[in-house]
Amino acid sequence: MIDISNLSLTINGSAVLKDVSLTMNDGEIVGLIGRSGSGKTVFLKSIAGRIHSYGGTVSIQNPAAQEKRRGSRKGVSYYGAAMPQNPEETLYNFLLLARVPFKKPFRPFSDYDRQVTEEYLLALDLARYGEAKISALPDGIFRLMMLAHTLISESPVVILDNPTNDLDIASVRLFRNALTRYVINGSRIAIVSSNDLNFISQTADRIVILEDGLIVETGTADIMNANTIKRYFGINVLISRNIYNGKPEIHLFPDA
Amino acid sequence: MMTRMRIARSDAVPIALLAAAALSAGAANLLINASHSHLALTLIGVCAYAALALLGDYDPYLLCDTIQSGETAVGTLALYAAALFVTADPYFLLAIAVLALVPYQLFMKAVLSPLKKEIALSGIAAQGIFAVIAILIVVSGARTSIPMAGSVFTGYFSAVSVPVALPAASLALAVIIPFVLKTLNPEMRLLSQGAPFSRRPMWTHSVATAGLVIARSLLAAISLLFAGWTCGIGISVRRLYRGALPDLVMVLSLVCLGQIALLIEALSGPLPAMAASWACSYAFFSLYYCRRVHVYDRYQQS
Repeated sequence: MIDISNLSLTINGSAVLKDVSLTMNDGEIVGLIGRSGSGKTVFLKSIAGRIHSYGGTVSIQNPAAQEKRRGSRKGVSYYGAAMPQNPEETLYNFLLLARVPFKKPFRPFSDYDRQVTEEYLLALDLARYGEAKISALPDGIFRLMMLAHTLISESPVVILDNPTNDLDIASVRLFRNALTRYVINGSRIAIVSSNDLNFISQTADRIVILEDGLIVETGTADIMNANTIKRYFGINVLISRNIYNGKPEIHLFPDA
Repeated sequence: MMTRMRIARSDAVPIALLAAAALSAGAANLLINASHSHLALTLIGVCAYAALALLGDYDPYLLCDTIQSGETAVGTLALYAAALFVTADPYFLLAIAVLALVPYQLFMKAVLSPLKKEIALSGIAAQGIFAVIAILIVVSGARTSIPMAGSVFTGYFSAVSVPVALPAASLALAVIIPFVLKTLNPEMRLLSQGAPFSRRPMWTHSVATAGLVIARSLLAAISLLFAGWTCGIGISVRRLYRGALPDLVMVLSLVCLGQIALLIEALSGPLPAMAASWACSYAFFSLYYCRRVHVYDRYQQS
């Protein structure tokens, strides 16, 4: 469980988070939405321990995730805009490197490390790119690889900032399935921020709307209605229901 | 898991050609009465440079050879300055060359982008400064007091007498450094991807980076002092070669170029040998950069 209490953050004199309080439960996918500049990324980075200067508390009720290290919180995986610096690495080797924090120095990778890596390689349909250098990967495959790298670490808390950027529709589906499986054992939490409202409404168990550094709405996918979208995003949309799961789907009106 | 090394047919041809060229050049050197110790000590520089090229797996800053990066020019300047004004003691010369290369490496890491051509441009600037100083010395008519000054370009320690312990220790370092890094292979490879990926305390990343800087400086200095400017093709050849045995091809290429440079030195003097090595280095560097394919913008060269 993650318990966030009165989280506040001021950057260059401007308050980007204002007394944000939220509780997230194990086994939950929490979707974070809001306009650009509403504070989603700094909120996620604060939870991940990548920003330290915040006020309030972020309490993660998991021994592995609680220990704080400089630059990050141990046991929390963060997917953001970071780029791997060594483009000569192959995709498979790069994914396997996500297991390094779990192995002892001077010891080889365990069978389990390879098994987890291969599981995500298959789950995200990356096997055919296994031997390709990461500098030669198309953007969509590169993003899938970065997502796989994040999930392979099997952290108790996984934080994903705009994970669907650059992904095609088939990749989004593969990623959504992988993310659902990630939390299915009930001991992990996934926090996903995205500008893709349909992805969030179809994937998240709970949706949090952030505006000007404040949580303004929280609830199940049902809070994604035309009024909410109009209020917080300033546009008129048509809401239909997914015929398979009943969750809302958002459609833009064509320009008049 | 042990894997048996097998030479594929596609690898056999370049390996055989390079080996033949290296043996021929070595035999020619022996025929024209080149010093045996000079030939042998040059190989220590080759070993150090091969070890330096292997560091490239753990350090994305190592995209070009030490000639292109300017380290060779910086090391040569430090070597001349130290020999002229400080000491002729070979241990001190090695230490001073390392101490000159460490800040230059730190400058590269702190200021220059590893994935663009900034390192190569910085290297041209360093070589330009070196060339201007050399021209000023020549024009002013000043005579350098360094014994066999020209041999700096083909290996100063190979040309002057040095204590036996120095080449032995240098060879040991050239073997031990890559071996230690190999045993920490996954950890070092993860650290090479940048701090956000390591998920370890920040000091671990800093220690590893400092270790790589010192290792590279040490190996570059050993290579410069034993083989001069004749090794500046290792990294380009290793990255350019698409076969299964790039490391073996790289080592043979280094031996080959080293022997040819010594032959040129014996026939025409050290400056033509240095010029030939420099031209070879930039030829391979250009070939590598021209053949690189960056379809996507993430690692686009500027």
